[in-house]
Amino acid sequence: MAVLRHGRLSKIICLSWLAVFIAQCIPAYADEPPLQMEEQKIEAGLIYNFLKYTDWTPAKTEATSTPIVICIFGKDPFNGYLQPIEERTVKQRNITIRHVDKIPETSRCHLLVVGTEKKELWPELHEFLASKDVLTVSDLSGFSDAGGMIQFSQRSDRIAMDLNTKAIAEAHLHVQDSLLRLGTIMNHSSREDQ
Amino acid sequence: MAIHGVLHKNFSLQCGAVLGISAFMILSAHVAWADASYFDLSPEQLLNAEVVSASKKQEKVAEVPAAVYVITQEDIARSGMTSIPELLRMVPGVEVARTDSNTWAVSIRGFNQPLADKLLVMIDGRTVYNQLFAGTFWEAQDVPLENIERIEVIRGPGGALWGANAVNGVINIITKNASQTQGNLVSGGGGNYEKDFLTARHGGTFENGNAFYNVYAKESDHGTFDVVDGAAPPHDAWQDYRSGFRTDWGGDNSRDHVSMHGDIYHVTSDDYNDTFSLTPPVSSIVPEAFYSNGANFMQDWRHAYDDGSSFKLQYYVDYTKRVQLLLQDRLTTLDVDSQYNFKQMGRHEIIVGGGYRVTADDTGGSPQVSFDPQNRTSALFSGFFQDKITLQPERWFLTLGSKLEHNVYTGFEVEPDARLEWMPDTQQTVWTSVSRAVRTPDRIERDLNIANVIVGPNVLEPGFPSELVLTENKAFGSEDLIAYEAGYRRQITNDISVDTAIFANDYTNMQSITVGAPFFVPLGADPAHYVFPIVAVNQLTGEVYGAELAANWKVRTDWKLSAGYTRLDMFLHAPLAEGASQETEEGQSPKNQFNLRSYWNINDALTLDTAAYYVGALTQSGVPAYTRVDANLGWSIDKGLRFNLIGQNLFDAAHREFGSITDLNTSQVPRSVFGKLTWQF
Repeated sequence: MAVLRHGRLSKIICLSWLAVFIAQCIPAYADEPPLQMEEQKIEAGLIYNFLKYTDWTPAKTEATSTPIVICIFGKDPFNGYLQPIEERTVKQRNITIRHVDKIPETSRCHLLVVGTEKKELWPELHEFLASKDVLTVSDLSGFSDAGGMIQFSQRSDRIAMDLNTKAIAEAHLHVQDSLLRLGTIMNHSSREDQ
Repeated sequence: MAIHGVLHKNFSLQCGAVLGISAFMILSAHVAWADASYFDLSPEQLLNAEVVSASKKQEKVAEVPAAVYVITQEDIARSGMTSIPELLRMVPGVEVARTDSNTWAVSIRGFNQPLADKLLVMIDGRTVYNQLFAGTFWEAQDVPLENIERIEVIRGPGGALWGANAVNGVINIITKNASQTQGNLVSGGGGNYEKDFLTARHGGTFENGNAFYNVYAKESDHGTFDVVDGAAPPHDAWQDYRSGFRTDWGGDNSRDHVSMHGDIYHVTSDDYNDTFSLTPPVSSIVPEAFYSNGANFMQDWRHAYDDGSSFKLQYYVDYTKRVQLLLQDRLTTLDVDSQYNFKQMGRHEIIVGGGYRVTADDTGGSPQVSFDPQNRTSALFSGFFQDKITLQPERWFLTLGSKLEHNVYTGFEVEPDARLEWMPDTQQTVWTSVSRAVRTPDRIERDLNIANVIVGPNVLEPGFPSELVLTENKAFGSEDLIAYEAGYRRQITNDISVDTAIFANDYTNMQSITVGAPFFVPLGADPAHYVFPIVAVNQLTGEVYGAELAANWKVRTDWKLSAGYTRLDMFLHAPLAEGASQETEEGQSPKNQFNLRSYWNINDALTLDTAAYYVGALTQSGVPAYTRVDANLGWSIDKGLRFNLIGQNLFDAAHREFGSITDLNTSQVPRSVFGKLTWQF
């Protein structure tokens, strides 16, 4: 009752709708809204792009009938969003995902995703993979500093990539410049706000 | 409910035409972005995509049909603030004022006071609103800011989902999943007012890396504030010691997530007590150092089913103890809550939940202050239901919900809520709502007795002392609110966004203080004196109107500006005898508040962040308007090592924020400068 006595309430709400109506008549800036996605989908999409933009040594890519192998060492960090990649091809080759538990199994991988919980095993794994052409990717913080090749991290509300070009070159892998340009080359310091 | 009916009619008649036209105009004019397969996107598109949470029912802030503001980790790091209530200064619609070094008055949409009673505060879903005193002791909620994931501030009645006491708003402090706090962190520093502070945290894994844990310890020592001209030197320093842990099985977005957390704390605070007696000296001021302790433990379990439904169960135990000269209390709370989110059924998205809470307290008083009875155990049952109905996919939504609660004082309380939401395109959201909320009585209103408060020389018969006696009111009932709100959010360009809300709150049965007829007490145990009985009653009504605006502008990739504006108008009505209650409530909240914040990345190593906060005058206690300016210079010395130099209240030697100059425990906020070193390894 009291609100109505002031007689302002219905006016306020009506005015708000009017404001929206007017806002509708102003042509919106043509800027496209940013895509919004779950982190795991973005990273899965990037993994597919890594396959497209990376050249492995001829030895590894000999038989075109063999599929490109993505290995996941540890728990699947993609929440299952990487799985549909097996329905796609890259450079006319099939893609397959393998879950590996033991370090020796990783030598046959083209791309190896290192789960964050395997942090302790990374030095050993890194040593094992030395001069094997396996592209290593992880969410582990400090991964690219510790010899990992591609590290994902979230900066404000975007996914960022830190690239260790030295490690990529040492593994005789070739990642195209158009992809390298989009990441941060790890020798540059990256700031973390805490 | 008559108001609802009349309102609805009015609304239909006057706005119908506008609604119809605007709905027609925008129909099919905007094409929403469809979730194309992410494998088809270029690396550029993927790296530019905004990350959103996978959790099914966790809506994006931009799509919530309520006035919501989220304080992010970036805001926390860059504001340079050292406590949760200080962080809340940036939120439109929130009033933050310090009466002294260890006491904050924080409220939403008016009715500010220390222990503000219309605001629910939770840490990870555990209520820290003290049910004995009907308010929040902010100095005891000193969570290490490094552990905070985000702070969600929901303005307006959160009654339907959160229950009683979320009358004007809800503040939910959410801590980080232990998987986000791996490794070690040490941060510490000091300055002129912030004497010294130190936080240490360690995070690791167990169960072969499938589970995460962290443990932390924190210490902080805060100095005294500045003296108010003509008053006694402040006695308000305080120290905080706390420690806690958190374990998580599964990440925030995994199918099953179990977490456990717990904290213990010990806070010591200085203050003055005014003690009275009917024999001279009538009044004496006694300084004291009192302490409060607390401990809590909680566990929660979330499970997401394949069909899209999900389930959540949590329980917690919370214990607090305050030992003051005049009043001592211990309060134990046990709370169990569950929630079930049904899978989408046609147009309906339904959530149901239930909870049970039992609180037990034990108080010790003094002749001056006491609870009657000294201890009490009370139970609270609650259940809620919410249905989000899709009226037109991706465009129109109607959310109907209600909470039903049973408490020992007022029995059943129903808090319904209706929200209409319209998303003309992916960049705009318009919403409006009508809801009812109640604040149920607490022990402080039902059972508290304050005696021996002398009010100057007796006006009735000089020569006799007089005593003001607050007597318990066992009939004190719930305070009621019917709130009408509307809001509009728009992402104007990629770099500019605005969020506005307006509201009209209609309050009835609010607390006011009434003075009964004085009576004479002849010489007995006490000298002969007059007694003025006072009692808290539900006689205040009123309307509060307000508007809030938040805006963000990313000027350049290295520079971001945020602004907030708050307008508040209170019109309260009380019977003549209770006019003081009306003036007090109206005069304790500023009419206008404004803030502007700037985050600037100078280069890869340096950041400079500045903020200005303007708060209008408080008429009741004669607090003048003030502007506070803060600056925070950050330097990343090396990977993981960061130094911050922070100045607060830079352009003002000292200012009063709350309380009258005659109040015993009012002091002035000083200029504060401190350094902080953070090392992560």
